[in-house]
Amino acid sequence: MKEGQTLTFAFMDPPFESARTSTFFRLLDAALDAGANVNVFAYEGAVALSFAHQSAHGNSIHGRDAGEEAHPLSREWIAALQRKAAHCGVQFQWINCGLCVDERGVNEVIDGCGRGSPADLWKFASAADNTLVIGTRD
Amino acid sequence: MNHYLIIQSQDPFTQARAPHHYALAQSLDRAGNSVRLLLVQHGVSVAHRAASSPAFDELLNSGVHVFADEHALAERNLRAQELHANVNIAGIEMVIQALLSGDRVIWH
Repeated sequence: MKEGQTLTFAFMDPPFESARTSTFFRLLDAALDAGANVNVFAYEGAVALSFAHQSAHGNSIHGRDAGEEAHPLSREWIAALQRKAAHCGVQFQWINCGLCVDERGVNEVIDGCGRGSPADLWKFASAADNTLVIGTRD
Repeated sequence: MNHYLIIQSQDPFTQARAPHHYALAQSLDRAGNSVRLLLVQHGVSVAHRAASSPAFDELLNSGVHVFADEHALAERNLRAQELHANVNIAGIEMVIQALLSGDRVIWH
């Protein structure tokens, strides 16, 4: 790859719902592995991926507490990708659609995730070397 | 000639759209483009050689190069020797390399 390439991803799936979410995070991780700068525009349900108050829970049916259950939280995955990007010396930007945030009341997000509008997707895509839009279809 | 990578997350057994996506890939191929299709998530189920899908068989016999995500295969305990002969195994980094190379990458 050329030095300093940038990829933009648009994603709309909420956390804990679909295999698309884990595939999406695998793609972001692979992009960082490749040395690319990464821009994410999260819209619709995906704005909850960075919600700061996600909490892990146990599984009383199986007799496991929260630690044993090791419930994955998407906010932790995002934070891990932020740390990885910093370690790799590349940029990792995450913007949530503000209207989508307000609709869902998930205003409190983890550090490093911003609020914007669909215009940010246009800016991200315009400045990127390539863009992948992962649409939701069931 | 344009280069396309189609990411196919849907299977033809539960999603009526999947055969249309296979047809789109073939159409792009016939139009003179270089086309790859990567099966991901439950989209890999059709790659099992015992799976019966005329639309997927048609795809495998076309000029489209078909790949299956190794992670999705492992999740379903599908092993290489159980796949159709024309299905190659690939990692998800294939998508990133395509994007960085300027390919047109489409998610289905």
